[in-house]
Amino acid sequence: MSELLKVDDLRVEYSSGTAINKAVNGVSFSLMAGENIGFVGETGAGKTTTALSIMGLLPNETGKVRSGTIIFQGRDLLTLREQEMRKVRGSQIGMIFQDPMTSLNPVIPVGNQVAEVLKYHAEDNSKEAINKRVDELLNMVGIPPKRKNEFSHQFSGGMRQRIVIAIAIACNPLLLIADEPTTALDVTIQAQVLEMMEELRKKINTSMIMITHDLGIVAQVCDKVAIMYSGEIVEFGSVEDIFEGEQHHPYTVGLFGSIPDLTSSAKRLTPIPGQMTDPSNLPEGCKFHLRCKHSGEECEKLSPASYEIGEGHTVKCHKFKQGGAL
Amino acid sequence: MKEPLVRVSNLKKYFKTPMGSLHAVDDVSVDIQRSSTLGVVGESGCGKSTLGRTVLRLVEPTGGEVLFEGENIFKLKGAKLREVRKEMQIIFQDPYASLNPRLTVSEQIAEPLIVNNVFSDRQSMRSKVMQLMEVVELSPRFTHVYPHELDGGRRQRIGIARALALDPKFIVCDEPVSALDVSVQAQILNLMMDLQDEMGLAYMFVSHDLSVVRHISHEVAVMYLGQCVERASAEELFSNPRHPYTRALLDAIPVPNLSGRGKTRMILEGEVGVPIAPPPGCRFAPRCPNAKADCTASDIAAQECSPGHFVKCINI
Amino acid sequence: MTDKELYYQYKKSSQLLDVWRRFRRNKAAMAGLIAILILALLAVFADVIRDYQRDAIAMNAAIRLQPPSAEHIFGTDDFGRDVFARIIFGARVSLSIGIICVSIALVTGGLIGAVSGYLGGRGDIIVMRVIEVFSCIPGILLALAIVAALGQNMQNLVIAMTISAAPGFARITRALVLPLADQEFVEAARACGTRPFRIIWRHIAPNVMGPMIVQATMAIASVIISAAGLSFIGMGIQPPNPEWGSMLSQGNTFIRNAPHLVIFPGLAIVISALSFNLVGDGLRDALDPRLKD
Repeated sequence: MSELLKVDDLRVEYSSGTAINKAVNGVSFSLMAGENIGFVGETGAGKTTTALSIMGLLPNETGKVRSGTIIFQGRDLLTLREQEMRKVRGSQIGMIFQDPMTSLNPVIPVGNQVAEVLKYHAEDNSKEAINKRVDELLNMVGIPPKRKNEFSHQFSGGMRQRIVIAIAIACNPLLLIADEPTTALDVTIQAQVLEMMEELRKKINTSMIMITHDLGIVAQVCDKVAIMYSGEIVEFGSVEDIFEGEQHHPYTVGLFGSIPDLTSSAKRLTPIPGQMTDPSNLPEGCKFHLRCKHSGEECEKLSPASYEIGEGHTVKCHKFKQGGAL
Repeated sequence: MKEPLVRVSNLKKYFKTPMGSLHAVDDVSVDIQRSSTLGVVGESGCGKSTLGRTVLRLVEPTGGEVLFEGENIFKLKGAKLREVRKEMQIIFQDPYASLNPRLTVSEQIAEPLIVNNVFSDRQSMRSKVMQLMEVVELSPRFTHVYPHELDGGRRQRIGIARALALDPKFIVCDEPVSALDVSVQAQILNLMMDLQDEMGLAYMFVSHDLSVVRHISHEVAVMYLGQCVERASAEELFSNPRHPYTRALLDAIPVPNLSGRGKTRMILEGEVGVPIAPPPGCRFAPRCPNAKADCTASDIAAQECSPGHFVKCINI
Repeated sequence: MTDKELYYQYKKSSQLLDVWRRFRRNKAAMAGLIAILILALLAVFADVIRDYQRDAIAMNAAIRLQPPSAEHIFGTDDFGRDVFARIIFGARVSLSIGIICVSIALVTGGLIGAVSGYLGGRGDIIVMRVIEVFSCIPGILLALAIVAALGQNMQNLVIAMTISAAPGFARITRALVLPLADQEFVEAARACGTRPFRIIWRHIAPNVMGPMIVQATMAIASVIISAAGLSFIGMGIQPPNPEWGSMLSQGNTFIRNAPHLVIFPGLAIVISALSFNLVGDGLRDALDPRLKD
């Protein structure tokens, strides 16, 4: 398998007035072709910011990449000009947003919105070729092509998300970034959309970054998992490492302790004490130490490095230094 | 069985719409026992929130009755109604919209006390407010801050403290943790369960999240398009779901372990409809894998398939 | 620590102070506020600066139509009266008409709009239809008709301007109240038995206050302009009483020889109206509690 995307030491800040919010603080990972990585974390963990940086869609005025590289197919996306980046977006990297209500234009028929991407990026952009492709794409996502002249408000939430997906995959992208694609949907609809996405991904053989707060979705569809906290990947590994491994970052343990399990009826949850860190005022040392019960002196002063505790399984915690464990 | 704290029988709430009558809550009967939790689950538009609000008479019903300690609350008026209102409170989903942005934390919590003239002097009222803040684990340094300065979890604690202010016996919780992150959600769920143990509260816990409902509920009612399709104890319902919708719902939830990976799951076809002028019979029939002609012939009554387990399906 | 100590341990941060801090940052709004304050001070202390009878009313043919000088900084008019004196006494009239009309319109219109919006039902429908009828008639025409019917004096001018401004406030309040009435915190208040009047007073009013104050500030500007307009066409304050609009209309005749007769009253109208608008704009941002810093 070849490496498709390599992100190294990415740091992103947002400035709002006088405050500087450090949203991403040194994220590094790599994605192989055909792989599906799940990014898990709570609000403010930096998942979406990481995705927007890869897409080059950070808000112009306020968001800034401070350092790092994003190598996609041998090129550093951060050094590309907007013009070149536009070619990458949509044709090589597709993105699915969380809210299907707002990611479609309400005054353009949905078929034309799919056609639009093709007009810019497809090799054969004759009218017939595009029309044929639009029908094909709508079929792929389970929308009857005869509805292509309808407007987005005539579709339900699940159907709209399918259209968004059709737009994202229109040019057979090498990488698909899905930012909480099913959070706004009902569970039975979520199941439909997830299943369809899995089938599509296999069919067009694309890699995927799946951003979610739902560990259940990750367990179901992802190959690798990155657990994020305060703009850092605190643990990275295969789904087996994360869901069945013995050793974990204390935050991962807390996250699993917080979710009620449908398959068991343990009566008390073990939540993580305290609140999310404030990105404009991050603590020194390990960013999790204020909420961590294993925290020691070292944790208060020094930000930990990532330690490999198994093949491809890394944990960013002092306790794992030199083969240590919790 | 003891007399339940709240008995909802044949409750109906229809809304008039330009397209016809929307049956948001259609002939729902459930009981809520003292110091226990009834979970109400369903997808968007199934009428679970309307049910919660109608039970509290925040919305006037179209038909049916709600007995609180044996008294029909829809027949009460004036002071009598206000008396019962004190016993029944509500916690909302959106910790932003549910707090008045112009009142400080202590003012929010004191509001129900002032309205009901619980205390004659300010000092004892303030003591009560401080006590309530302690109960919901809100630090006293937040006494005079405004809600927009706090995060979702703390805001939800204010909402809970406000609901507890009048020492109610029954609280409708309308998706109280849906807007929160998982680690904060777990804190709030633990808090709510502790409060139930300490104060003997009864909850009607409305949620779309089955894992959360299973975790907190003693009894569970599953709703689909305004109707309660299945009702049983939590243990029974999750281990032995009988209604095809309940099964599909349970199957659709991604579980956070690898056991479900690669397994073919029961995926429901079609979309959740809208119960506007619904035809007779089972509302789930258009999506149901086992639907027969009889399903849509006439309205289906709930049948008790084992003690305390009610199902609205003719194929059981 | 007792509960009492706990309660007072952390001081309530003043909301007014926060509002002022945010307002101060808006330079244009500050300029407007300073202009209004200067105008208000001049109006309040007009008697100290100039004598009403001698400078603003009494005629003196000897000093007709003099250009601005050290003695008469804004010059004199065709009756030899000091223009500066007439402007500062005119400020009294304009500012008080603006403030009185808008205050009455704000309270009555606001109350009607809030009650009708919150309670809804048939009453709401009737109120809204009446307001729509009023909105069909241009404000200035309505005021003109009222003044024509009641007679031309200050009191009737105030009544006319108030009646033409109030329906606007009722409509805006209602539009602000409608979405608020569905908010969950209002529902929470109802759930614990709060009576409708208290809900309006305690939960709804404070939340519509911000936009209403902004609206009122801007309305003062338009009332000042309308009052001046009415006086300009002779339907408002009557000569020889000093009023910016009537000064403008008198000076009109001499615009070639003595332009200062129209420049200064005109400037007074423009500056006061502009200032109120700028302040209103600044308040809009400063009053939103969700916009933190």
